[in-house]
Amino acid sequence: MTEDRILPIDGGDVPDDPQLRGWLVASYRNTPEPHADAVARCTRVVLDRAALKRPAAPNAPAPGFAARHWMVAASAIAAALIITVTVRSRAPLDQSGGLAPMADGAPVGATTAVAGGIQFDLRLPKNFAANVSVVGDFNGWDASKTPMVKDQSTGEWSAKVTLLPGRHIYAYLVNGEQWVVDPLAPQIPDAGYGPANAVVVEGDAR
Amino acid sequence: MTDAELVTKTRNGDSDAFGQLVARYYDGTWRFAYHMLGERADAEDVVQETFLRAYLALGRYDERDQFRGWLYRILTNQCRNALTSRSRRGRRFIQDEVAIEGAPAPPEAAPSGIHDVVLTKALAKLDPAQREALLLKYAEGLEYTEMSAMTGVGESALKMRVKRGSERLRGLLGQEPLDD
Repeated sequence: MTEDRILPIDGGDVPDDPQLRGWLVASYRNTPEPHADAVARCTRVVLDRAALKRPAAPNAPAPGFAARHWMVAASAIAAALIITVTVRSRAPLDQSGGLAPMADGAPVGATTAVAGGIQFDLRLPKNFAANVSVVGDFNGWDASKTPMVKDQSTGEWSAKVTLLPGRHIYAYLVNGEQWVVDPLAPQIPDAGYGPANAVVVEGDAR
Repeated sequence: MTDAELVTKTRNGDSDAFGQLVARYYDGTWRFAYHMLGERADAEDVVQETFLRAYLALGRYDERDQFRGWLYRILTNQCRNALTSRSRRGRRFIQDEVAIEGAPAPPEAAPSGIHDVVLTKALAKLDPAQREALLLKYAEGLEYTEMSAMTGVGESALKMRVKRGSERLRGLLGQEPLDD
């Protein structure tokens, strides 16, 4: 950066500013508290997501560490009614890119930015679902607004949604009654309506 | 139990130990992310990503490092990534005014006279690198050597960011420095 290049060699002495320090410390102190369940939710989501990412992690710690959380991965998958979510790219906050393969080789991920919108893809066990919808803040959580279409050759359900740039909250609704979230995508705090994912749509906000 | 002991237990598969690390550092990381990003939801996403990356990278964590410094290194990178992503999609820094204004009033003894809402709005107008340096220096209370190790930025550059950030922030607030 320009500011870095015009410095004196040692940066010079920068006197402390106790008044500014006081303001910032006070601002920290007065910041609204995080949600009450934030710590527990963060821990749970991290462990679930880490368990699913673990096979692709290049620096896996001790063996017991990985083995333990494959069990968590299995639990997370079972909790999702043995549903695997197939998506073609991760949510933008994840800079690592790529999809972590699951134990059976099926990919897991989030959503895909495509021309004119966001592509949601979902793979379900054979003959498991009669209908699937994407529901979110962009369609008023109305299951009738964005039904997914099944590709008979692959068994994947998909839907494309046009979304404005910004952060959107979504989930999947299977057979009109079963809410499903992507365990690898960022999850929002549960405000009492159940878990949901977040996706950020990039682009010019204008 | 020390951080190092909790890290060791986590590496051995003790998820409760990891939960204790999250509980120990969630509040601090969240406050930093909130002041860097200005939006509650974004701050929560970034903190979640930070703990995820820390968890996945525990195998590379050198126990000679302070866990807090190591964690904040990941956190500052995640905040930068979030700001870059936000910039790419053309969003502006928007303060979570409802949350801020709903916060309890500052204690009587707060050495300010500057309302937090005014301060956070002014903070939001700073260059992100200056904002990061000011928060690490003053709100987190770090030394320049610690800041340098954490951010990968040279000490001289950090000093200049603090200096110029302070001047800019005071200018935005219409406040001259106190005389010694």
